[in-house]
Amino acid sequence: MIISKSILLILVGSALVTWIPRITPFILGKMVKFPAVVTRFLEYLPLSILFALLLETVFNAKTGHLAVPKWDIVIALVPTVITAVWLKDLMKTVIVGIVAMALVRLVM
Amino acid sequence: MEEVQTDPGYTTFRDGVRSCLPTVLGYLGIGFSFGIVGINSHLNLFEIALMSAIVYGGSSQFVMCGLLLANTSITGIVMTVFLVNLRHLLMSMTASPHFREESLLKNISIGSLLTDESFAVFSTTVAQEKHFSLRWMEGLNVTAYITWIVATILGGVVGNFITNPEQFGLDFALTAMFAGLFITQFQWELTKSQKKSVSVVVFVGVSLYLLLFFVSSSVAVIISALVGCFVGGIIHDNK
Repeated sequence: MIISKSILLILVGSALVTWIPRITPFILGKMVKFPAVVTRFLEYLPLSILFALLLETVFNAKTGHLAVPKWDIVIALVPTVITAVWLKDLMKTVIVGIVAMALVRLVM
Repeated sequence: MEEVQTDPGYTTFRDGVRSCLPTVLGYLGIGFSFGIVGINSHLNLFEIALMSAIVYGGSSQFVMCGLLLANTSITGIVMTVFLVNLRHLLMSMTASPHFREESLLKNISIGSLLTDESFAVFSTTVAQEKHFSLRWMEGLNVTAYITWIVATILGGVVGNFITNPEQFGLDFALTAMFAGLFITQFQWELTKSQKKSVSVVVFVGVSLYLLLFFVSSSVAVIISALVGCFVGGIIHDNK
């Protein structure tokens, strides 16, 4: 199986721009200690970024326009969130989510 | 080893594999849909596998397919991928201090395989004040990595027969996984400080919505996450 030259360039370029931000802090972290302020603020990163990522998938966004919720996702999120809160089980949450979404798409 | 006492369940490579299992279904769902989308974007199986192995980022891979179909230039695609994945910089900054004592090579290997999901599992472990080992983190990362590559190849194989993975709800695996990971993290933060965690979430939500008007969604995610960190840090100060 072959790969076209332009795809290869795109893949290698994308890999580099993904890899460098991923590893740089790990390399810097070996040499210097981050200031305490930075560490303290980053303590809230997991909560913040997970919520931002979740919300981002909910909205249909276009620069210059107010973001509109994707209603099929909003509806499917209801049973998903309930499952996550009650069962505290990620795998079951994902299963309920996928089934809920398949049903929503069947109806909508 | 002179390592700090690690909790049972967070010590060996195998423990890491076990910690990864709850997210495996999510990776399978998303990876499978990616494979289907990839084939339908005229990528071949080898290109799909290579992309998963060296770019290794769900959202950026979907974005790449969209841009390939739109005939975007090589620089355009690479710059977009850079923006979409820039949030890893923040996650790596947050995770790296926990591995300071390990060798440079081990640090690089952990950073290379850090994903939203492995970062979330890692963060929950930190929030629960569990002691973990490097081997545990490696088990977590490597399991996710292999699952992702295999799932995207499987999706690519069936992609010739299915054109629309959305009708099976598979694309929702991403949202569902983020919802589950977020709620786990949120519940832990709530036990520490209700006021702080609720404020962080409210500020992230409002700023993300407003930012979506002005910037691309990947940039909005980064800035609103920084807003959340700032709010959390400030409230922390006043206590």
